[in-house]
Amino acid sequence: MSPQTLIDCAFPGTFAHVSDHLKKLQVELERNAVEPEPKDDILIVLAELLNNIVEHGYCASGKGNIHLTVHAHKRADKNAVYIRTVDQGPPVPADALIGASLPSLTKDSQDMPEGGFGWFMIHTLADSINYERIDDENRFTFCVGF
Amino acid sequence: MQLTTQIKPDALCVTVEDERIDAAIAVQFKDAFRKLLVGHKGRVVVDLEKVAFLDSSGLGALVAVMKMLPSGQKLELAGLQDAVQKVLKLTRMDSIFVLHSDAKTAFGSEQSAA
Repeated sequence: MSPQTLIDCAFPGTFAHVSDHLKKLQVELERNAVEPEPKDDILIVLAELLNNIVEHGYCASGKGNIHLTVHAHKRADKNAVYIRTVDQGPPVPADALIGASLPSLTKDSQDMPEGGFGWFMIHTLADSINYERIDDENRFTFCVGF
Repeated sequence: MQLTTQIKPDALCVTVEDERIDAAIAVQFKDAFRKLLVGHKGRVVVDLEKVAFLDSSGLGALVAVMKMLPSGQKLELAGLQDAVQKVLKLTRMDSIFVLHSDAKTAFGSEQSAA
């Protein structure tokens, strides 16, 4: 069976646009019978990845586009969803890509971390995530079986 | 973003009416709680039954709300859906909040304030 396109669109790099497109993707994943667990993983990884592009790539300026493509391949032996993001932000720092650890949890709730979870969640939930820097663009691709 | 607040004896039960607590509403979410919690002393239970999705910014917002409480008091969360529970567990932040299966349980006699 040929791959089916669930989403193929470009949108402005803002948190509100990311939120709207993740809602649309959730509907598409459900329509294509992706099980709840891989569906949640895909949506969580993508949320972190896209929000990271908005916040660090485009410095929350609202300037710049994100191109998101999501395909579902249904085969007799294996179903998988393939996800690709393309943005024109600066190169992603290597320390984010290599891996990330959780911010340490303190006993005093006043010192609890309010951020720094994003890359840890991406690396934990996506088996392998590929990063390429081509022609001044960042390209992330990953795949989740279902 | 919409919150519905029930005032109980010595406690606030705040129901989040949105399906997502994410980067798009995290700042609004914190501001709304900051206003709501002025002068409040007592337990705060956030009912997340309608929330299907939480990202790391949403998680950060919940931590920020906890920091608005008197030092040492934990924020209580009720009615966690699977995807929300997954994010809390993955980041090990499930241990810093008091979790209840639903809002009713949170105010049941067997539960004590944290």
